[in-house]
Amino acid sequence: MNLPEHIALLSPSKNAEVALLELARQIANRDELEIQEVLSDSYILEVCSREKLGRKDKLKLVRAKLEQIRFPLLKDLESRLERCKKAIQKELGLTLELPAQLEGDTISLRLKFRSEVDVLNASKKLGSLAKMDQTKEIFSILSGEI
Amino acid sequence: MSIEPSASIISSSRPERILLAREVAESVLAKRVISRLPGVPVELVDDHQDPLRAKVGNSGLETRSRDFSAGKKDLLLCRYKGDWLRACPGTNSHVCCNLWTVNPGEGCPLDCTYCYLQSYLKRNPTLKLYTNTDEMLGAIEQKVKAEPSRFFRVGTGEVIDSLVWDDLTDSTLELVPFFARQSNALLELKTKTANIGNLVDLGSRYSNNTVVSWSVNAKPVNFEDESATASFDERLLAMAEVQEAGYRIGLHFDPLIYFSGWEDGYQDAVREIFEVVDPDNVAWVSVSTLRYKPEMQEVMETRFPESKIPYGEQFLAKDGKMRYVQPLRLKMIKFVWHQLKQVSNTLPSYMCMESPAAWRAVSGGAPVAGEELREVFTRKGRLNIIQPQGSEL
Ligand code: SF4
Repeated sequence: MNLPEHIALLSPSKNAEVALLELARQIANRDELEIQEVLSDSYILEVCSREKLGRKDKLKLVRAKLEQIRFPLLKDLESRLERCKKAIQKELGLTLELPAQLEGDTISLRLKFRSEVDVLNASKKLGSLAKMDQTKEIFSILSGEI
Repeated sequence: MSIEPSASIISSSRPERILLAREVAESVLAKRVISRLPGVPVELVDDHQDPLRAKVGNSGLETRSRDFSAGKKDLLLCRYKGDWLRACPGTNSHVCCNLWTVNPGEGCPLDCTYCYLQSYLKRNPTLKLYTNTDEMLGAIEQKVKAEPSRFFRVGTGEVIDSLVWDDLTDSTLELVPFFARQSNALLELKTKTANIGNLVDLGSRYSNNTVVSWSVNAKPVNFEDESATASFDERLLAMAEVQEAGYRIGLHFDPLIYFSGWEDGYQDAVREIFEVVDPDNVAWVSVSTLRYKPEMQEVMETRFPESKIPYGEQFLAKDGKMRYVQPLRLKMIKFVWHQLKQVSNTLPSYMCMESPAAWRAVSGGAPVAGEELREVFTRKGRLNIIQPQGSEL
């Protein structure tokens, strides 16, 4: 099986080509489509025709799209969690670490202090963190409330 | 003992050929099986080893898949020469339910798409029945008598369906009365068949220490991915009969499979089961989601090109198995758990091979080093470990 022209023109490496074809094959089998149909999804066609985008960025977007079609739930959860993390980072400057591969129910946070004032400030931030909707959403997702 | 197998049972699983190890040619069990498979050719073999073992050794995937299918056509009758009673291997970083297993044979003719035997028995794919079951019973007796204060839950359904050959072997006619005599052991027969004639014939005289368990699934999964097993409705009928005959029932909602409409599918399954099964007569219910070794991904795709299971949202989890991402696993387990608790809040439910985090999320607490599970299995009034009164043993 070869890549259709609009993707072949992006000259993916051999590994990238195999990965794209494998994703497309699995989607095709699942959705009872032809592999070429999967690789000619309208978004993929549109990405490939963008003039201002470089070859590598196009390939990245094509792959992300295929992954999103292949693993819709997983990708949706990942992006929801990412949004929550970013909102917390922006609001409180805290960078949460989620359990690897979402296995587990514990999130972690590393804090450093140079003074008692830092400790006090951090405790205030933790208080705010506990009240944020995004914190609640993260714990909900990890415990299967999706 | 003079119990005859029910005349009405016909095995749905007939091998195409019997391979008979020369050293067991005169055994009672071998003769019985052969006599009940008229017309199936018998070939004497010198070795008790799996005849496909050498061939499968270094073969590539496609050959392995083909050999695995080929293995299901032959039935090897031979002696078992290893340790009979083993603790269930469980899985790394997951909570284990302390089951002991004995295997009166190996391999299953039913061929469910997700069956883990496709990787577990990849080097030994030929179906086998062991003829030295007297040694098996001896080994169990020795073990349970050596530790009288310990409780043994023993399952025969780890690498074989417990009842799939029972109309050929009558093995339950020995096993069930044997366990009825034990004061600290319980037998779990785990099946996807409706091959219950012998159990019904034995009836309540010996049923005190045997739980008959069914692996159950939503009807669409049963239809698409368990096509050679008894249908959901046939299993329900079998549950009703076995319950009527005095046995307690076990249920394994395992593996839960994600599909469009899964909630309705599992809700219906729970509802329909408990229209037939008395919740107070349920010994245990396990709930767990799909899991398999990564190598099985391609085997499934090759052997079952129609199945959608390989294209679910599984990924390689910490324990080295393909699993759904944890939030999805928990959502599914919680859903079924909740359905079960709505039936009866006292149903002894547990999760098979799930993490402590899953226990916290689903049941509200972590099992303490297996204690909570042991309690589930030995809860007062649930187990009826008594010597049978007036039995003919
Ligand atoms: S019934 Fe059980 S052992 Fe037999 S093929 Fe199905 S999953 Fe495997």
